[in-house]
Amino acid sequence: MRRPLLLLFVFGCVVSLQASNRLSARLILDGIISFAFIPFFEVLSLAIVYRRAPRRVPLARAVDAFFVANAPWLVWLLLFVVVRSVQTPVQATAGPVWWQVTALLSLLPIVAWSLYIDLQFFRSIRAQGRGAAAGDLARQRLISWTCIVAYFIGHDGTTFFQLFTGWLNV
Amino acid sequence: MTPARIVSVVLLAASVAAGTIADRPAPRTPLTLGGYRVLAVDFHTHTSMWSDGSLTPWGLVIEADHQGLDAIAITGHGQTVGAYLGHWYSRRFGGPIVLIGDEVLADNGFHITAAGITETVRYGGSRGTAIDDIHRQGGIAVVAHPFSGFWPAYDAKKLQGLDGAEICHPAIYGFDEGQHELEQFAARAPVAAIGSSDFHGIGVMGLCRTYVFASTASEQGILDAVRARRTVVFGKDGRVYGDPTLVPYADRLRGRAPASNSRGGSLDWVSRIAGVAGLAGLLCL
Repeated sequence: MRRPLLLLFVFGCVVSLQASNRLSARLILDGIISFAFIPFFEVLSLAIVYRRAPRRVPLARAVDAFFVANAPWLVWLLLFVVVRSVQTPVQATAGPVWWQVTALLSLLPIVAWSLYIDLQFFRSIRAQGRGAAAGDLARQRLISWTCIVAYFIGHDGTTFFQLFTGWLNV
Repeated sequence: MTPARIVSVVLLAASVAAGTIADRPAPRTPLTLGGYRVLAVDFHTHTSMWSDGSLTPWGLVIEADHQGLDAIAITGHGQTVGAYLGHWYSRRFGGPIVLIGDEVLADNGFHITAAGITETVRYGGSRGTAIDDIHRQGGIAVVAHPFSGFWPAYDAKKLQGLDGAEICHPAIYGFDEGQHELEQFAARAPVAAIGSSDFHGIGVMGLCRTYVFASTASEQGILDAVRARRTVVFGKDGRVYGDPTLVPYADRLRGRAPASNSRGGSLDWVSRIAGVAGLAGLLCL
């Protein structure tokens, strides 16, 4: 479980640097607690998908290997804190629109990169039916991202859903 | 462990130690002006509990203390659990006053924050509008970030029921027209001037804040002051908004908030660079 813990520690550091532009134990711990739901849902979704077919490695080892796919996200977060470390509070709180758009667009290659790593992971652990790895990945992503987004935005999700269905005129 | 990794861990540990030692609450001396207690309040904050924030409810209270705020409203999206936890923490362990709040997206894009309520805002049917329910609960209704994209939702009737409108929101620093748009909205709505940081964890809590001129340093005192429009807010480039009779006190309030354009001293820089380098080493080596 080293890698899930490392991910949480990085989350804590990002939260601390974002809020105060320094690494404070208080804020790191708070960030760890706040974002513990992400590795929790990732492990949960992996365990659910894992039970569907025979596997080559035990779940505990698979969990650690699975979190290798977070490397792209960690690199992105690292770049994020590098930028934050040279910003003033005003710049950090409300960057110009072009900066916000750039930050969002920079997530696209990260998503693709982590998808590729995850696909390799599911191919490597399946005892048979290598072609089904993409299905495993899709199921795992659907479960984990749905839970993560639902937890993170909470009730506002229903509001977004209402706005979206209203926009679609459904 | 390789020597490079050991160096990374040492750098990171030194940075955390330095950052933790330097992490002290902002000095906060009680201020009385014109016979009122002046309280620095952030009316729009989010926790990480189902409210797309980055800090726990208790972490939010502690951070407010560190940013020199006397009170915050915790405004979850359609829920008050985080606010109640923060409220409990503040009463149990001390800290800024916490107002129970809710950020409501209602009635076709009508976007308001409630503060001083007792339960999640509900509206429609016999309950009337969201504003009606906020007032029924004894709270105040503040328009959240009324930039031009939100204007169509506010007709004359809705404007009449409001208690405040944000005249300072961090987004004003992100695009040139932002402050002007909030000023235009304020001209339509003769309500209390409010500064809120809409804090989600990105940036600094209390970057925009409201100086409330309250009769007492209490939840009720804050709510009554907003209803009476006894507020002063600093906007972009230090412009001052609020009650014309209180604006002359603005010079006494300048400098009470932590500097918004400072990257910290040289020790902060060294500590930060060491921390980021240590983190990079830990991840890459």
